[in-house]
Amino acid sequence: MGSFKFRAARFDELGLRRALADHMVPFLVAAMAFLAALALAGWTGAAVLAGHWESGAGSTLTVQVPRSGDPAKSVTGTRLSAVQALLNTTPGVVSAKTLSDGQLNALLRPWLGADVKDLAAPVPAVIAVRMAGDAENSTSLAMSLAQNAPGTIVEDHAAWAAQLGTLARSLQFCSGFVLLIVTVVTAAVIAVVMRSGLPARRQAILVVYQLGATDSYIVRRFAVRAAVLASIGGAMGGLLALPVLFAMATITAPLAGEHVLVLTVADAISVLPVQLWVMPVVLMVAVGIVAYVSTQFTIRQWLRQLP
Amino acid sequence: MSIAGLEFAGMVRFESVSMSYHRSGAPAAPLEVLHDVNFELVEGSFRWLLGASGAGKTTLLRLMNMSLRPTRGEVTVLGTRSGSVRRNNMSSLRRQVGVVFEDCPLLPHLSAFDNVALPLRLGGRPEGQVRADVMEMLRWMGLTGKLVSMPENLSGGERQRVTIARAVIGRPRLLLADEPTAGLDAAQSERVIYLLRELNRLGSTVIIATHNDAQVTRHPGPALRLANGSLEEAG
Repeated sequence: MGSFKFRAARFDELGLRRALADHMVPFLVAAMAFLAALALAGWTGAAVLAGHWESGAGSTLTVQVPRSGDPAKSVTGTRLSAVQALLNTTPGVVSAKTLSDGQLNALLRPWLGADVKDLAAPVPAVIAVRMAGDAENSTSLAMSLAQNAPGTIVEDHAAWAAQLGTLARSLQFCSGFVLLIVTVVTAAVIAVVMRSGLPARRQAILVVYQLGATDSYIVRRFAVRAAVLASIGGAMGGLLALPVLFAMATITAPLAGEHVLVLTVADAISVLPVQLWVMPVVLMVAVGIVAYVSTQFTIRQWLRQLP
Repeated sequence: MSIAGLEFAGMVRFESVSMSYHRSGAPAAPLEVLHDVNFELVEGSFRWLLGASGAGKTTLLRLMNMSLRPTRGEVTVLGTRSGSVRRNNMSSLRRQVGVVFEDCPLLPHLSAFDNVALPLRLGGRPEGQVRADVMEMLRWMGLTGKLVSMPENLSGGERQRVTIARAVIGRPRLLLADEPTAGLDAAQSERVIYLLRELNRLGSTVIIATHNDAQVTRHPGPALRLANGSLEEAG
């Protein structure tokens, strides 16, 4: 009597903590959460790339000015200075930078393999132009430039940027679809595991039901247990995925126009989008909700067969 | 006994109740366990439920607990009619009905204390009150030293007393006991019957099913006798 301790806090009338099948749930869910993390990362990465390509490359033009040192047609100065001046006064042009010889060399070396100055053929001057998002199309700009410097070529990046954007959106859709499949499979796995554990607990369920427990009470006990176990699995899977995501983010950062040198923790944090850092928490909550709902449905269906 | 059509304010009423089971392998030939059973019990009454093994005693008790529904007729328990009761309403009925059934055993993973506390906790009783009530009940049952014992460590008699304690802890208005002394020695059986009669004296309606006529002789009282599925005498 003296050693008797009140243990209501650990009261487990359905014996859910003893069910071996439940012990599999965190590991099964961790595997699914790992896949979900990759799919989420795919979604986020595709969104970042699509945004970058559509707002970055999509709003840039490359202007090539042949015979850039020749006099301009209708204004004083060279063709290059005329084009540069016109670009600087054109509405919608955010910036217009003429590439230096060094930059041109770097750009052409992979194809021509020699210094620009050593080439026999003349190389046009190249101006990188960044347009505002709502600027007019490049056709009217090309016509204006051609009047001052005939032969000037305006190359609009919007077309291939749009294609890349479409590709990124497709990847995003695929990631979303994978995420949906992972969610459904997770719900099914939890339902199967819970269902397989029911025969072992049938007697306990019948007893508490006989003693006045409602369906909702029994279902809630199972659902809370499943949600806790699944949340543990979700956190495990999310944390396991972080190193993989970190590596992927480091590799793909240049595609988003970022050149990353990871030397410090702050560098590492800056590589991953913030939504991926909070992903373990999001996954923990999300799989908890999926497990709760899935178990509610499964157990409630099963209880209907009781007398 | 003509009771059909009257408003019933008592504890239990059976109106032309028949109960059949479908035998496996012979779906077209159901086995009729109870046939045209009629009786009433008022609140606070006591009944022995007598009959040989297979006479239908367990089925009759299960109908009172509404874990079975009659194939014909109607059972009314505490104002709840078997023909119209919904699953959602069963819990409130069962909290008023204590059962000592063979298939409602102690939960093996709970101590004697937690088993007895179960109906109170399911009913949402505050924990402080649960402890006091369970302690008092186990003391009354002579099980004070067995609070933390698991069912596997209790003797048959102790387990049966814990089961009865669990059945009566919530002060049920109706107590259904199916062969509560089965497997007990004579002294333990006497103690169990004494406890159930005492509960009846405190106001609960008690029905004890037994095939042990000698036990009834030692504790005389009104009885329902089942034979071949029919109620032979009531009083």
